[in-house]
Order: sequence, then C-alpha cells, then structure tokens
Amino acid sequence: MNLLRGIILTTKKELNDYFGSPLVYILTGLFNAIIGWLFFNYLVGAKNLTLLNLSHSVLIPLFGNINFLFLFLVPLLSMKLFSEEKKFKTLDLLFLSHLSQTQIIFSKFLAGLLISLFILSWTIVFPIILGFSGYNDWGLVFSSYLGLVFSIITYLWVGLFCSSLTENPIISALTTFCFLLGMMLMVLTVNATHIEILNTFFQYLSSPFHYESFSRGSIKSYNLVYICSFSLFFYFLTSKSLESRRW
Amino acid sequence: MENAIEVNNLTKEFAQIKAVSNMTFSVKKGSIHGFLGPNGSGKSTTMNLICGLLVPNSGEILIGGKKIETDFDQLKRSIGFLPEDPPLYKNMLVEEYIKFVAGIRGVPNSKVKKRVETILAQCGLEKVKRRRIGNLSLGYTQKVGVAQALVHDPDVVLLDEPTRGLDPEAVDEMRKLIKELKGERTLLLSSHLLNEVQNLCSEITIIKEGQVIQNGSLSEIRSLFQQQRMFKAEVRKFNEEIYQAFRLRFGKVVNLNFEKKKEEKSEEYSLNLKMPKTDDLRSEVCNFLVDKKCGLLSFSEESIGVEEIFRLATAEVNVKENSLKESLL
Ligand SMILES: Nc1ncnc2c1ncn2[C@@H]1O[C@H](COP(=O)(O)OP(=O)(O)OP(=O)(O)O)[C@@H](O)[C@H]1O
Ligand SMILES: [Mg+2]
Repeated sequence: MNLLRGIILTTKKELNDYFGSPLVYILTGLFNAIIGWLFFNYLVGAKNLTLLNLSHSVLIPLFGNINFLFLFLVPLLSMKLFSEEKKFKTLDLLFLSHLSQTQIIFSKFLAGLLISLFILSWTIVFPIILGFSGYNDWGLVFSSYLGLVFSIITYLWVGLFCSSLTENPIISALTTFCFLLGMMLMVLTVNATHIEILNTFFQYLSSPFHYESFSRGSIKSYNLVYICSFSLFFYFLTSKSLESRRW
Repeated sequence: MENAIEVNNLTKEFAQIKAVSNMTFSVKKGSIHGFLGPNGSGKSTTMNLICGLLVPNSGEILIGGKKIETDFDQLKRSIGFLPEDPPLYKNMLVEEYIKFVAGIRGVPNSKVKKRVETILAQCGLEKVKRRRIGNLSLGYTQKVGVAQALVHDPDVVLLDEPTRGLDPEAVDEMRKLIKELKGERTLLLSSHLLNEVQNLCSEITIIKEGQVIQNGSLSEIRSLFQQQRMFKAEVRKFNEEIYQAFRLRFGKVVNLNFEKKKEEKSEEYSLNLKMPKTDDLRSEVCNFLVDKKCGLLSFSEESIGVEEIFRLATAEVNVKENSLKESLL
C-alpha cells in the first residue's frame, strides 16, 4: 500500500492516543515549569548581561538541562508504543494489515518524535524573551535545538526498542531510563581515565558527547554518522525483537 | 474442488508443550469449515499458524497454493482473521476503529466511508458506532472483532469462536452473516457451540491434543459414527399387544421402544426405532403400523448431532490411548 498513507494513518492514531491521555499535558506542564524556573535562576545569576555572557551562563546551561530532562521524559513517552499493543494483542492487527514492519516501526517512531517536539516547542519562548532585550546569536540557538532533536532521536530509538521487549509499560520505561542514564554516566567515567583510545571510543558511543558538539555550535560529520548508525542499529534490534514473537 | 487452505504435517512446540503435532488437513475453496476440539487442543494456535502470525517448527501451510511463510506479504491481504482476543483499541470509537482498520488494510480512500457503513450495518453495530470500544459489552466487542476481520473483503476468513459471548438472537444474526459471506469466500471457524457448526458447516475437522482425529464432510463423518439409523414415529394408539406383535414380526433387527406422550390432551405415543444401516425396513415398519391401525401421525429419520460425534470422536482417542497404556504396562 501507499507508503505514506500507512504511516500517516498509524501516526495519527498514535497522536490521538497521546493527546487523549493526561500524561502528555502533565509532562508538558511540569517540564516547562522546571525550565522556566531554571531560566529565571540563570538570568538572575548572570552578573552582567552581555551577549557572550547570555549565551554562556544562560542559554547553554539551559539547553543542557533540557537535554537532561528529556532523559526522563522520553522513557515515559515511548513506554506504551509497543508494550501496550502487545498487551492488548493489537500488534497482530498491524502485522496482518498492508503495513510493512518498517512502516509500523517508523510510524511509532514518528509519533514519539512529534510528541517530543510538541513538548520541546514551548521552550522557544525563552530565547525569544532574550531576543527582545537585544540577544541575537541565533546560530547558537538553532544548533542547540538541532542537538536537542538529535538527542531525542537517539533516546527514542532506545525507548522504542525497550518497549518492544515487554508487555509492561513500566518495565519498558525503567529499562529505557537505565540504558540512557548508563550512557550518560559512561562519559563521566571514561573522562576520568587517561587511556586515550578507550576515552575516544566510549565518548563516541555515548550520545551526550555528540550533543556537546552541537551545543558548542561545531557539528562534525562523525556526529551525523553516529546518529544514523545509532538509529539503524536500534531499528534493526526493534525489528528483530518484533519478529521474535512469532517463534 | 481446489483447496483454499492446506495444512501439511504441521508441528508447533511451545516451551514445554506440543500445541500442534503433525497436523494435516485441508479446507475446500468456498466452503464453511468447522474446526472443533476440546479446550487447549490447539485450535487457536493452528489458526495463528495459518495466518502466519506464528512460525511452525515444521510442516507447511498453503493458502491458495502459496506458502504463507514465503508469501506472507502478499497472502495477508486476502486473509481476514478474528483471533481469540479480538485486537481492539479500547479508547477508539467503534466507527473510528473500523475506519482505521479499513485504512491500514488497504481499502482505497474513496471507498472507505461506504465500506465502513456497510460493514457496520452487516454486523449490527450501527447502534453503538459512536461508543468507545472499551465501554462495550462482551457481545458487542465480539461483533466489532468480526467487523474488523471482514472490512477489507478477504477471500479467506478465519474466525476463532465468533459466537463467544453472543445472545441467541445475536447468534442467529451471526449465522445469517456467515451464510451471506459464503460464496466465493472460504471460512474456517472454530466454535464451542456445536449446534452452530452443525447448522453452518459442510465440513468439519475435529482435533484433540494437537492431532486431527476426524476430517471430512459432515455427512461422511456422521455416517461413520452412525452404526444404526434412528427413526422417530408418532402414533395415536399403541400398547403392549402391538409391541409383542412387532417383536414377533421384526425380531431383534429393529429395536423399538414406545412411550406415552404426557403433555398431549388426546392419546399419543412416540416410538423410537433403531434399525441397521444395511437393510432398509422403513416401508415394512410403516406398513406394519398402518395394518395395526395405530394411526400413524409422523415418521422421520433422526440424524446424530455434531455433539454426539464430537463426544464419540474424542472418547475414541481416549480409549485407544488407554488400551495403549495398558498394553505397555
Ligand atoms: N504462547 C504460548 N506459550 C506457551 N504455551 C502456549 C502458548 N499458546 C498456547 N499454548 C498452549 O498450547 C496449547 C493449545 O492452546 P490453544 O490456545 O491453541 O488451544 P485452543 O484449542 O484454542 O483452546 P480453547 O478452546 O480453550 O480456546 C495449550 O496447552 C496452551 O497452553
Ligand atoms: Mg482457542
């Protein structure tokens, strides 16, 4: 069947699901309250409000915190994507439909991404507020958002995979969270060692390291290679995990 | 006639249990095929295997001559399946859900609306089409499940206990619906209501513990289990004297017992007759009753029900097993 029509139909269904439950509204509210409060604190804490200072003591830490908060949000957003379908046996309906497995996985991913972007989109008010008082380093804002989107993509793939492993949303959320936190801690641990190769290797594997190059505004080609290979790898794992239920 | 579904030497093992072992049967194109078996005998597992939702350990499944394992992407389009637990999204409205299923099952955009309306009417769901699926009663959930299996107009329809949870009237409607579906389509339905199967199916397969124990047309299987022909007659007059005369005339060949009907106002007796399949004594018996001025009211053949066949067939396996065990001991 038409590739797009299938993806649109299922993505729309997922989005309806999201907006039909209070979870998304609660998360959006909570998330933005925390970010607003942090923004206010950083602003008060910054001594003199020069352009350079605004970037370094307000926006960069703020975006860093957004990235960190998504570590908690994404597992909650992705937990139901497959586990609930498995629990209520509706996955068979999708498998027997004209949708291919790739379409099923991508529409779920797309729904998760869109809902994360919805939550993220509210934070655009903070740079805009600064813009009113003369802030104009929009390049940094843009690359930070790009970095956030890339981070969210990696988080979501992990979440999607964990969700396909179990019938229980809570377990799915917990495993996703542990995995993501582990990845974050890996960077910290590895920074403490002095073996150069090990250092670079583990840094490359963990997504926060790549986020940093975005937030510094210096995107390298290996950042993009990382995102693509990470996504492909987890797509592969997810599709294997879905296939395994037939055995 | 060619076969719509062919199952050859199918085996499926779960962690400890052999759910399906070496199963072979076929479903003729355009027929309604009943699939019977006691609880846990592997009916649902077999249906899942036929749909390609489970992969067998060994054996093959052909649908319309093509292997489901290799041609799944193509074959799944012509399959409509109602699993044991209907795949329903509990927080969707009935109409919305059927529309969604029609969409992902490839009904063209321009035809979706019409198709959804038809199927809702066909399955008796118009009354509840604006209700949330999670709030429906069991019977209606089952109907939504059936609607879901039919919305894309499939050639092969598999229904796992379609009448579960339905009231007698709804069962009647479902029966009508299933009869309407026949034609070009092939239906395989498992059911616990043996009466259902009797009324609908031309062929049946009885399984037990993952193995086929009977397979064929209903009349064939019936005659296999029916060693004797049974008749029922109603008469105005009957007594011990006529009975003795009857015994004298037919001896042990025809077995007769009679009973006075209590509920009738005027005197009436019902006679149960059993005679061997081999020689036809119907006219002789009737003539005898007429000669004796019994006042013959009716005379009809009773065929044994699926229920009886089911009981006999499943019991037979037990007997075989027991004798096997005994011989081993
Ligand atoms: N996913 C599974 N894992 C392990 N065992 C299973 C699984 N599915 C079914 N079984 C086992 O396989 C056997 C056959 O089950 P199945 O559901 O096919 O029976 P059934 O004929 O449909 O029974 P019922 O009439 O109760 O619906 C049962 O012993 C069941 O416990
Ligand atoms: Mg069953």
